[in-house]
Amino acid sequence: MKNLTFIIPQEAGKPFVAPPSPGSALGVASGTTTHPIQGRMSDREIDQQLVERAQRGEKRAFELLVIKYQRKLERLLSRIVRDPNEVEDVAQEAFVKAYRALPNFRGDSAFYTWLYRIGINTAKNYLIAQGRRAPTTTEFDSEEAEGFDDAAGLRDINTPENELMSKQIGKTVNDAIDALPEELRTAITLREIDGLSYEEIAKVMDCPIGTVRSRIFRAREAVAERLRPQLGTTKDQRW
Amino acid sequence: MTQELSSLMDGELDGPEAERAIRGCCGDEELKRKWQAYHLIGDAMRGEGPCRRASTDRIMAAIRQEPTVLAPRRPLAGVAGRVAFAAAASVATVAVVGWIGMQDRASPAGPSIAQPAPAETLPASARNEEIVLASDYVVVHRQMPNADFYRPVSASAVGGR
Repeated sequence: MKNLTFIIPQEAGKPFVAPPSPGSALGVASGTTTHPIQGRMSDREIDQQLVERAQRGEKRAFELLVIKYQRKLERLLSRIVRDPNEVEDVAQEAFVKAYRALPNFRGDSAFYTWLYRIGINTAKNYLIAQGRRAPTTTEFDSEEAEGFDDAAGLRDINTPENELMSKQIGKTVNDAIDALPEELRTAITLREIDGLSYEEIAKVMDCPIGTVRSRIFRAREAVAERLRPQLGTTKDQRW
Repeated sequence: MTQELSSLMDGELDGPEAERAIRGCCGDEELKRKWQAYHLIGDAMRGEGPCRRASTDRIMAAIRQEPTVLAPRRPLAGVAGRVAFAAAASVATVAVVGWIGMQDRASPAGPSIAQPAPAETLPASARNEEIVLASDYVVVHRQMPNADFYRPVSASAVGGR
């Protein structure tokens, strides 16, 4: 373990603050980008696999894409449609439209770029149908969806209830992360915050890739266990 | 399988392993919940608020009510398709070239090249006269000088030193 003996406890509801990690020294951009190694299936390829399964009639495959992209899509839509309830409605409509249009998706662009384009068009049409002004094309270019993860200052869907729930989930996750053994905490932080690949984490932590794989998995399991009560089945509970 | 799911999310599985994990996740409700939880954890660590559970459920319900999509499979898609197409094109080319070669060899008349018309025969004396005339003509009009014309350049150059 080198240079990684500190994780700053985070305030509830605020983003998890990553320690100054060797990721920056390695010149690795933060985020959840994957680092395609020969033979590894990239994020985009995984999406493509799910899309192809959905195209063959497996609705569950599409549900996995919904889980993966719903939050991001809603954040994007909240820039066009301000009301949080309307954002949810527009997001639902966009997903349904995307599902219907699946036979036309040929994989020329990434699935999320395609989905966001549908989302933006759905939001614009929604505003027009409401007699409200829709943003112009220049105001909203779906191409920016490519860099959407890094877009700063995006408006979250900030109803008081939403904020409270976000804070609760955030606090549970951060408390669970703080309670992890150091090697698990470091591994999952380097992965989720700094976006390092397993190979890079293995170099930083001076351990085999298999150990990194196991540590990240154990960290996720431990945090998921702490989240379990909040991931119940009550109707209005959040993921 | 849950560890494979965790690695899948991080883009750290090879093709066949990844396909197995995706297949498992599509067919197992518990693995789908794990997929949800793992994504939520990542989002929360990055300070990105979660979606309302009810909202997710509503989208899922709406998708389930939709007629199932069945897209026609595109033939020869992707790298495998291009490789198969290239292989088929190569085989076809070899077959065509081979077939043409076999046709030429099998033909009893030999290659079908235009044959010159047979020359008319002349009496022997006339032929000799023509040969002499032609030889004189060539000597008079030849572009190349005869052997005496050549100067031993290399020898004179060596001698001039």
